[in-house]
Amino acid sequence: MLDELKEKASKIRTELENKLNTVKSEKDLSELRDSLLSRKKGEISLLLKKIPELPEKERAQAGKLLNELRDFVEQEIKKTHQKILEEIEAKKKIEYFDITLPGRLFYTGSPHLIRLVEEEIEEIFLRMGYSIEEGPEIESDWYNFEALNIPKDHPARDAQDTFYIDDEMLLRTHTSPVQIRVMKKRKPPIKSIMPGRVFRKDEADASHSPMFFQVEGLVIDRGINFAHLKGTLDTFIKTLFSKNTELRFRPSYFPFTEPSAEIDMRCPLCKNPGEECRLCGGTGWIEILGAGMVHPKVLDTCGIDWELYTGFAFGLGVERIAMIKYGIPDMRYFYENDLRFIKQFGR
Amino acid sequence: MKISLNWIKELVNFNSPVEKLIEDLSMKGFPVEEVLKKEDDIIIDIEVTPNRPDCLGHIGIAREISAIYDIPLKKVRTNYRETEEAVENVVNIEILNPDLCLRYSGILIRDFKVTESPLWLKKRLEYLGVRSINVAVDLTNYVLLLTGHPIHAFDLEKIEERKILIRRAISGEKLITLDGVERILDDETLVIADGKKPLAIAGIIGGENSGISETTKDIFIESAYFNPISIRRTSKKLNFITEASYRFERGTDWEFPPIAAKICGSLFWKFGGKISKGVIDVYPGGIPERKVILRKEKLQELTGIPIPDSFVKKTLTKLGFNLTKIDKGKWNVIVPSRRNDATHEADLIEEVIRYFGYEKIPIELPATIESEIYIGERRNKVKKIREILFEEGYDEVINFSFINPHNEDFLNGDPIFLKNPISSKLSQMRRSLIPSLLESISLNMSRGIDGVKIFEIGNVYRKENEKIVEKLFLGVAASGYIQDKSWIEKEKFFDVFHLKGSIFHLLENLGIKNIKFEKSSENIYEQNSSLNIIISNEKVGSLGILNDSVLKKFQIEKKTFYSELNLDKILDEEHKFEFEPISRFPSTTRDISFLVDKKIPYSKIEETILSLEINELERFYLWDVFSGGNIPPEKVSMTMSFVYRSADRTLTDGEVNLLHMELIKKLKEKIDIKLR
Repeated sequence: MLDELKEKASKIRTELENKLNTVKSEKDLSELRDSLLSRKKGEISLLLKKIPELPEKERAQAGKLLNELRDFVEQEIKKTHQKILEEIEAKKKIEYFDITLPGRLFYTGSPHLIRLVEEEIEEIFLRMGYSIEEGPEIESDWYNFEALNIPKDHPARDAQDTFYIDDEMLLRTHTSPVQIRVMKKRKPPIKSIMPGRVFRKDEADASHSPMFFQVEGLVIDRGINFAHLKGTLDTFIKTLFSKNTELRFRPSYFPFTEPSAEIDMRCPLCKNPGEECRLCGGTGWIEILGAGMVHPKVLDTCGIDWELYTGFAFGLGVERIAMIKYGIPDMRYFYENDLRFIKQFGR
Repeated sequence: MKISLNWIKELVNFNSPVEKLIEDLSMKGFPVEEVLKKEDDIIIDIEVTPNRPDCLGHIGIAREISAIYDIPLKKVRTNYRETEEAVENVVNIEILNPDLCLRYSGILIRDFKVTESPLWLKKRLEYLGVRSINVAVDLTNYVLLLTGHPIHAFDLEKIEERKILIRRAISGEKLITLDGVERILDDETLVIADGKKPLAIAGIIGGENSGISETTKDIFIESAYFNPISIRRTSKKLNFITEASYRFERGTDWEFPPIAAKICGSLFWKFGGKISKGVIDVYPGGIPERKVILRKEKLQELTGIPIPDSFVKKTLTKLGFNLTKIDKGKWNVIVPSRRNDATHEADLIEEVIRYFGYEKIPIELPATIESEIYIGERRNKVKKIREILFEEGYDEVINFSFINPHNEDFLNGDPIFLKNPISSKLSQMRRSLIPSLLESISLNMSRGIDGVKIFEIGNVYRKENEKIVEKLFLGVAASGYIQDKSWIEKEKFFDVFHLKGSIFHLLENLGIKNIKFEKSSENIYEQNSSLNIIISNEKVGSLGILNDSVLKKFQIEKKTFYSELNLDKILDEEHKFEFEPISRFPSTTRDISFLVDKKIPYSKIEETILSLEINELERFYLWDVFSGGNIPPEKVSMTMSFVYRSADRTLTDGEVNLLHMELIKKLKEKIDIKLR
């Protein structure tokens, strides 16, 4: 009998710790206390009531054992109660409410600035009814140069240092080969822009990069003239920057357009012309676009008759535009991909 | 090209201040790059485009200025007193390769004292970036800067057999050029030689053996026209450009050589030389005059506003073109030999518009509409993918397409190498987005950014069956914090289930059904930590925890998670949206907790439940997984909820119980699970 009692007592002791861990509130604790110590139904109380059933010489030992157990349980319950009270106090402290504490922040991801600017540019042309065409980044010499009226051994090739894979295949130096592809696969009227990566063998510095992005455009139809070229680019730049942006069209040279032009915009940084300016070198003008009427030889290569159709083409560097619009001084930021740079242009 | 304002004013007398000249030149196609103020002159650096070699000399620029301001050009002296001796009796010229040298002229100067140049000549040259050597060489450079036509001077004494042969070099022939370098020539190179040996590399640089020194007395002056392609090829081969080769490769004026020779004569005579009678002019081929027809209607079509005939005639004439009217609105235009660029009607139209003024042409928008409306499905899908990734908190990066081959050596397949990369670290085209993304993670972590979640959409390049192939891929990589600690929450770390969720979300949002993830093993990922992403039984990508050996290459120490999708495969598939009707009746949820062997993947349980095809089972989800504690070590405990709902009635408790019991029974049959 005594042994049985001892066993039961031992069990209560070992189970107590587990039970105390599951107690979360004063109510739970009170229930546990009652289950063990309540005079009527508590486990220990019931065991105590059984003492008279034991043989006389065992009664004293049993009583001592159970009393010790009861004390132990009371003590543990008290400790737990203390802990619970402390937690309630602590909770009260947290539930103390200060509206000026920082808000929960969740950051959505940010687009890369080049894509952002590319999208801005695309939006404007999409609204003007342009389609968007893409082409391969690894091109043949024919599509990248010859078809664009830049024969082998022509000094115009010096303007674009080319990466070669072998004698015929190279990394495209501009997106103009896509214009050739479009003209060969579709008949006029053509009204497209061609965005994409291009590659030139230039050391990376503040204004050069061996890889960068361009957007070129092409419009071919009956009666397309220089006034249309001016109108299109004027509308584009004024939408991209501001209605008051001053533009200047001046004669230039590209092998694939004739007449050709370079388009400058007023330097947004310069206060006084002639002063040192990191953007325009003090001239007050920044070159942002190259353009021209598509050269008849190029049209001919693509099977388009210059007698029936004329067209214009233009091209810009996306990084250049981004640097002007967003005030970024160094091109290397774009390809470093430091998140502190990228996250500045989040939506 | 640098020009001296003083020199220009000697050729055309204009009054405008420098600022106006710069503006006017820029607006006519000659942008000014730099203005240098010297104590007694102003030097203007003009960009001359490759199509205008006629402007690579002061006369050419002066001609444009004369046309801009309508001021006549002053003539350049070509007169001098000749001696009795005839030059053709002294030197014999023979062009052996008339395809490479189309014209060769020269004059002979006797008794010339080769001294230091006078100060004015030195200054003029040095202001324009040409070093002064001695008065003879300086005068030839002077003529080059004045006319744009290169001149070369030979010491007559050194011309053996008094014979000049213009021929291809013999393979292996050697020549020490004026810069002291010994060059070994091949038969592609055109040389100026005498009866015994080469004297100069034609059109590029002279030889030391025949150069002018203080002991020179008699000088032979060469003024020639060389084939531009030949000069350019040789110049590229030697990797050497001179003022002469720069002009020849752009195409000089084939009518000018004898005139340039006479200009030379006049100068040397002024400096005390005795010029022999005559100008040798060997011109075997005779290059025909170029004629182009210009139509007024084409001019108007391209310009957009009417331009008067008188303006056309005046402009082209003052630029040196010769116009004769053929018909009403049609001219026959003879192009001067110095204008190699004007070969087509469009070139003449350009000249007219350039002088008319681009600023005078109005601004109009074209009414062009393409025959097919552009929809741009592919681009829209890419846009959607990016939107979802932004929503999930990933930042977009863009990396170079070329990488360090060492960073990709764990991949299979033939890489594409660049023949002339910018450096060995950027010498191979990337076959995967992994090296690009890991570089970005590594850079950001080295700068103290502890949570990096990024993606890149770009091409990867491979060789397949000898062909170069570009494929559009999406790469997603993440490492570190997903959320930094704050006063209100503990920090959270990114794990592979975040990535899995993002990819699933992305694919689902594109309308793709039949998405399957299958366990895989690839060497880029850790063991048992990767999945293949399968759509309609085709592998379109993968996902997993990257292998440490890969991370080590980029000095990344934190666990890094990666996924890639072949977008070409995904974008081209048609994904139609299908509406799923929703039931108006209430649902009932039942849970089960069970133990299952750790070896059995959850995907099997999922597949089994789906295979039962219980119509009223709207959905089910796993919401508790744990092992350890009281659970036997080889087992894991899972708790799942099952949501039952019918489309056409409220299910009774009884019905739900039946369905649920049936499900449990089937589950127990197929998978060894033990209910808890």
